[in-house]
Amino acid sequence: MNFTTIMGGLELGSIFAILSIGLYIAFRILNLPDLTVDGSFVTGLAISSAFTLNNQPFLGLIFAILGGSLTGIITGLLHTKLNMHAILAGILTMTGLYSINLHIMLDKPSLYLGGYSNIFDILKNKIIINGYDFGPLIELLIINIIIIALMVYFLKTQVGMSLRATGDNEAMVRSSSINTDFMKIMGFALCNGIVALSGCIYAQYTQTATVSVGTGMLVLGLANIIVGETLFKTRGILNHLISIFLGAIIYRLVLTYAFQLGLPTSDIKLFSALIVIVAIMIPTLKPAYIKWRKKNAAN
Amino acid sequence: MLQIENLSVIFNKDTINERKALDNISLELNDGDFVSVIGSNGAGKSTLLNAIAGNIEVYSGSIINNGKNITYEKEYKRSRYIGRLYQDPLKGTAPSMTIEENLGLAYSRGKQMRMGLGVRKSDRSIFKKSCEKLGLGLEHRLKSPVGLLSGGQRQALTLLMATIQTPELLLLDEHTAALDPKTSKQIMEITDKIVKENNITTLMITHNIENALKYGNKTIVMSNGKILTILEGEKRKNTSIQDILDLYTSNFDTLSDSAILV
Ligand SMILES: Nc1ncnc2c1ncn2[C@@H]1O[C@H](COP(=O)(O)OP(=O)(O)O)[C@@H](O)[C@H]1O
Ligand SMILES: [Mg+2]
Repeated sequence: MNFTTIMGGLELGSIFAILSIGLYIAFRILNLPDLTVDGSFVTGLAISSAFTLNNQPFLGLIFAILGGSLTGIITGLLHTKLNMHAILAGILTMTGLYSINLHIMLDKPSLYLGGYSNIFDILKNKIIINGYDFGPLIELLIINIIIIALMVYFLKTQVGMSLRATGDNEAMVRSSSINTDFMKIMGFALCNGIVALSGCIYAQYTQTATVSVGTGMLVLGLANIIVGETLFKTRGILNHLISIFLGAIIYRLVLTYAFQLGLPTSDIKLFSALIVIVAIMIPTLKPAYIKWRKKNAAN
Repeated sequence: MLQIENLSVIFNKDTINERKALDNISLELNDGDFVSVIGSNGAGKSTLLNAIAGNIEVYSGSIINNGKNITYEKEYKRSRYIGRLYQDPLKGTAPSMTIEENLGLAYSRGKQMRMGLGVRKSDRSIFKKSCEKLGLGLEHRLKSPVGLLSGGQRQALTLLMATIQTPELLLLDEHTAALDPKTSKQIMEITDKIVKENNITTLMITHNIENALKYGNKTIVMSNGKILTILEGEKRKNTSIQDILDLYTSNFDTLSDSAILV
């Protein structure tokens, strides 16, 4: 792997780390699978491109977060008010979003954003080391630090604690005069707002917006989380979030390396899916394996 | 004061499974009354507490708390002034959150949600003092996740959470039944202390007749959705476990319920 590919891996990894931090809220805090993500990532991307084409990349960030949150609210309402299973609620929103995202992108499946100003212009060519522009990476790191810091703080506020308790012991929260439906809707909104932010940054980073790019984002985000959790078995919210960030970076570097070795880029989704499957298999297979070894030892 | 007037609860009304779980019950608790409730399985003890807490529908009658008719008030609204504990020690706490965070949630119960940290410095010293009173050393573990605690410690914490803002009513449904005898005794002692210190009006269901007579100032004996008798004062003092068993025998068709035995 040469220096440029490693840097590229770090940058992309940082973008997808944001995605995973969003997913963390649904999957880890609320214990609810949120399938909206494949759609809301593209919503962020689409909104980003619409604003970038009007030379308003920063406004794009804000509206991407708002738009993503809205998608989460829809899933949350379907889940809590119509008593739909979270998975179905997410699939319905995600499917509907496909059309909406296309409309936001002026009904073009692909938009090229090159030549327009974007959020990476601020530090562009300011920090050049080894002939490589470190601007984007530093900007992405700063964004990640801000998100993690805000998240850690939020989860320790009264609202944040109520959100965590809702995922932890819903019956207890309900009987302590907190509206759990509201908490869940808020969790979905937060999750998808952050996911959309990730999509928004992705569009500006790659300078392209493709409506189909969302497929597999959920699995990718989960793979990041699982890699981080498996490598760094930590406790506490801050450590958990940092491990997810590192997991995203490491996973991206591994992928980058695998591409270099000749893994076709078309196999990336299969690879992510396999990682998630294996990670979920391990706790199930471990007892069976231990039993098998004991049996063999006895013979 | 809690006044229950002609309260009836019917499950599965107008079906083949219709069951009158509470049959025209009337009962009055004065402020600070600590009432133990005994009776065989299916007597309607839990149903009585559920009706008061608001998580089941009342068929007829009324529940009046401090002069306010709460018969149809929503459960989450009542939970602002009613504290509850169940048999399952896992039910009342959030396991992945720390002791102080659990207490923080309980401490903010019913108040307007505020911005800022959920556990403030000033809260922490209050929590520390409350934990010290339990005598279980929890005050040194405020930042440990509750999931690491034993069942007894979790139940004690739940009790603290239910009473950290003194409730108008405390409802305990066999809250020591799932614990080993030694821990169970400890939790009973703590319960007694907290209830007395704060003068909390309390209804406590128990399967342990000895405890029912030992703790509190009144004992209600229930059977078949009705209150058989209310023991208090001298009469209660002179009641033995054997008397209660005799009362059971004379009122039950079946004497099969071994759980009522001490
Ligand atoms: N949700 C319910 N639906 C139908 N029947 C119920 C329900 N809850 C309790 N019952 C019935 O009501 C009666 C009283 O139950 P309960 O109050 O739990 O008794 P106890 O707590 O004294 O053991 C029992 O016959 C029980 O089967
Ligand atoms: Mg019961």
